[in-house]
Amino acid sequence: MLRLEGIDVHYGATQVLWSVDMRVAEGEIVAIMGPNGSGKSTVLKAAMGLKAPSGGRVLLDGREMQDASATERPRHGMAIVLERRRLFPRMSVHENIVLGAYARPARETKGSLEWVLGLLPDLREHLDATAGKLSGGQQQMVAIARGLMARPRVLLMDEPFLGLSPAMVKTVSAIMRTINGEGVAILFNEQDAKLSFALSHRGYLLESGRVILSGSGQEMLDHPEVKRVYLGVREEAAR
Amino acid sequence: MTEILGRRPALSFLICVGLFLLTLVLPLNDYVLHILTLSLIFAIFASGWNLTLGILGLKTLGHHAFFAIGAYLSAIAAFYGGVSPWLTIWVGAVLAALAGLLIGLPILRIRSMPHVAIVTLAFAEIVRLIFSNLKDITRGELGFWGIPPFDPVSFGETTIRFGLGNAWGSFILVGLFFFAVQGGLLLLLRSRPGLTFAAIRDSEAAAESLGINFGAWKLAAFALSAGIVGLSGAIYAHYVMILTPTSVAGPEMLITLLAIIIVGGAGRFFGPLYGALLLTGSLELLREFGDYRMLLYGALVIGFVFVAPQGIAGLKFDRLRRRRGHGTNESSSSA
Amino acid sequence: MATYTKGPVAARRILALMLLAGTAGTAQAQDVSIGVIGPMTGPAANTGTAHREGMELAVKEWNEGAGDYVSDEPPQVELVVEDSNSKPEVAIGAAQRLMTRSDVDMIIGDTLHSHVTLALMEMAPQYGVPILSAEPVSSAIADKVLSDPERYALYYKGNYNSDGYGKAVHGFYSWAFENDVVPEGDKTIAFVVEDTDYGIANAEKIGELFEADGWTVAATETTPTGTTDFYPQLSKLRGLDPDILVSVFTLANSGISFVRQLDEQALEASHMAIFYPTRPEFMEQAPDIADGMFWAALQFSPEITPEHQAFNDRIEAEFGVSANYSHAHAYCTMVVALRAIDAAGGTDADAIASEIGGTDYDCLVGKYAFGEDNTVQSGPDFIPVPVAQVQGDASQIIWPENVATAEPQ
Ligand SMILES: Nc1ncnc2c1ncn2[C@@H]1O[C@H](COP(=O)(O)OP(=O)(O)O)[C@@H](O)[C@H]1O
Ligand SMILES: [Mg+2]
Repeated sequence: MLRLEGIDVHYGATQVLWSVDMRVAEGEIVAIMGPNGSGKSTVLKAAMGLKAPSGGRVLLDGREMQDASATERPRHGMAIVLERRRLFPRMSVHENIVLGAYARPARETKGSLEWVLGLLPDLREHLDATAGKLSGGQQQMVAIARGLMARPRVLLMDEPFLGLSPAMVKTVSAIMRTINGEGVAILFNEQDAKLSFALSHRGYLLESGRVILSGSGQEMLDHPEVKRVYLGVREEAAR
Repeated sequence: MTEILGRRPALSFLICVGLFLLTLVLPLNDYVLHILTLSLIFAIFASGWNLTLGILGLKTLGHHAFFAIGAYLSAIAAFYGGVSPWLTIWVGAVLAALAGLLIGLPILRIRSMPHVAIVTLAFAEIVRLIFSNLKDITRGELGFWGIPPFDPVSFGETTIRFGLGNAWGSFILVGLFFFAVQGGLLLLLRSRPGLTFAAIRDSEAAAESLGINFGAWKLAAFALSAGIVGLSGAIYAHYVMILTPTSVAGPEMLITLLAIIIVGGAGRFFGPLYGALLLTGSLELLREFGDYRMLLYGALVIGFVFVAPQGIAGLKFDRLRRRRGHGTNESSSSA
Repeated sequence: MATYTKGPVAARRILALMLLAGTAGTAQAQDVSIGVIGPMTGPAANTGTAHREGMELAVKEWNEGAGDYVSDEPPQVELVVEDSNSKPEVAIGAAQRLMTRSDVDMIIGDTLHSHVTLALMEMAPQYGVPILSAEPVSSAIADKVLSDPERYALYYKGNYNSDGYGKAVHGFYSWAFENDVVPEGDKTIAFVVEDTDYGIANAEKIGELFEADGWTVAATETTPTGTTDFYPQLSKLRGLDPDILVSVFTLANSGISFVRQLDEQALEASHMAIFYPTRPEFMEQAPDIADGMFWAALQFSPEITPEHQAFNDRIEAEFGVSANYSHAHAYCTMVVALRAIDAAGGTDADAIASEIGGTDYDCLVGKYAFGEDNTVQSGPDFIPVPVAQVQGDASQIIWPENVATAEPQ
């Protein structure tokens, strides 16, 4: 349903993505794995329209998205959970979540909220808390809840496990599966290969702005290059 | 939004209205009424400015320009056009809002806040110079006099008059304007636009990712803010009935209003009212101290900034929140 | 708690004494109270303070039996000073406070600003209180009175209209041409003035009066307040070669720079300087750079007028500062008010106002008499706007002849 074709991105004169091709099919969880600075976030931003590509196309259900600005894309069924959650720290959890429905008709808000709280029931007791004062894991849940309020068919997640405790990583992974079970496709990125590919149906390996490998989650885990560099099978982990 | 509006904004608003009605039956003399009237005019000004300065967090320092635009254009329309001030104040407000749009377009593209501050300050200075150089129309610093007061209103036998010297009527009128503006803002801030403003202030990147066109929202807020400030300027013009470029668009106006917003609580809904009442009131009370008056006034403002960095409205909120914080702790530990 | 130290006891006694003195002061009936509104704070606070000192001296002398009384039983007067902060709305608040809290019988204000006075004068009909403004000159005030004389019957303007300087400059030159003090030339006049209403209004008025005599205005150059570089203007004027050059600045610095640079450019025009030579900073430098220069208006000159010197001594004794024109003008304005109240024999507003209107009184700066527009009149027979000349170390009045202290050189 979501396709990136030949995406080039420049920051000023520096090119950071080189002809990136990716796709996310209906109901899939797809991982983008790569070292720090390889361009993972930039791929998601380009997909969401938060960073205009200098070349290539973004297609949603076969429709070109180039002319749809970032403010229109949520209406087409896309949502993004930004790196480091990016909550509205001074607002309450409830206000944060409700703002996720900004691009939807107001009459849907109530129903969406019930749906989201059904998926993330732990949030109920924190609705009145100030978002900035929650723990990292709780903040990530709020960020996910906020993203879901747009009722996306594809949810982009930028490093959803960043800075979380191992227990919290498990919880968030479980939530991602649950969401996926509701029919929401997920495209997320992560620096840890095991975490990325264990959770995903398919994955991409990104290095220096280029896709150098792609395949199913298991294929990726089994690939000698991934094993050597990222899983540290022969040597110590590179990162 | 609690941070902006406080715990029970509607209740606080109604209490303010109640206090206002109470002052109407108190035997207050003209002097006290005049001070209250000025406070309320400045409170309208500050509420409008607070929208961009406090709630959106844009460091715009040129809003006295919109006050001057509203004041002068309404006065010019009423004086030369012979139109009733009841109508011309809206002309002043709308033109101020348009000026806000005009200056807002370039300003909102500037990312660096110091630059925003400088550009808006320069804009205000240009507006001041324009009004002082249009001598054939405004008489410059000599003062634009002959501005008509609001036309009297009659209810059967009684006629209420407005303008300087008609302290009671002017106080009621300005009070009504204040509560109308404040009530409108409260409705706006409690609905989706209010949430959106707060979101933009907290994180533009996050707001954009949710599909919020923050550029357009900021521009709209800027125009609304300029319009409200322009309205307060127009009301001022038909109350004081004389304008000079320096007294409405000079640096002192900027400093007075900035102090009101900061002491009241920048970004807090009730901050402008508290700040305007406290500072205008204390400036009058300090008259007892003669030469030391401005010194004490300055010390008072500085003192407030230290004691209550979040302003008066912020003080109250902090205390309430702490109390509430205990409440949730207890309930979670008992659960 | 019986161990009071000496300090607090003494302090308490002093406090008690002060309280006693305070009550005694108010118990001794003040028959009349006068409110004063002026810029006691803000950018014009220096002038406002001079006004207050001048007025306090007048009231003190009046209450102590040293006044120039009209009746045999002059009233004791209480003075209440309020700040206008140079702002109309603040002055209005001050007026209302004076009316409601201090219950004054008359208001003098604004002591300095025309724009504040334009607002303040509205209080006269609203509250039925006589109001006399002190130093403001704007003709707009007089025009407002003329537009509705009945409404402003209780208001009087204690200084001449802003065309006073214009009339003086024109009057002086007419006299100077007649007496061959200055050659008439080919009748061109030029202006370099500060870009304020004050500067421009003066240039316009003077230009108007000369044009009526067949003169041409060669140029009117305006410069922002505070300018110190006048070479562009002066080199332009060099080409135009005017017969008279008039300069108007309110800041001494601009004046000093202008006169210096004018000297270097060696223009042949007769130079008339307006206002800035009244500043002491300018006069300190004048002997070196401005010998022979004409200027207006020398209205207060302790060095050459014994009466002014005596006034200066009284101000100095009372406040420890030397007196300037603002002290003198404020003093005279207060004396006019005191005498009107004395003559009215009570606090009736209409009676006081009509006595102010009938004033005919010689004070330090000239003879006070009000015209049709409730405004003090200027001119040789009333308040003169004297033209002076820098002669050696001092300035001498050279026109009008009835007040001249020296011949022009
Ligand atoms: N706003 C920006 N301006 C300039 N360069 C940027 C910006 N954001 C990212 N980059 C550069 O683009 C490259 C890719 O960054 P990013 O997509 O954030 O990588 P990742 O998310 O994989 O860590 C990096 O070299 C980074 O320095
Ligand atoms: Mg990243």
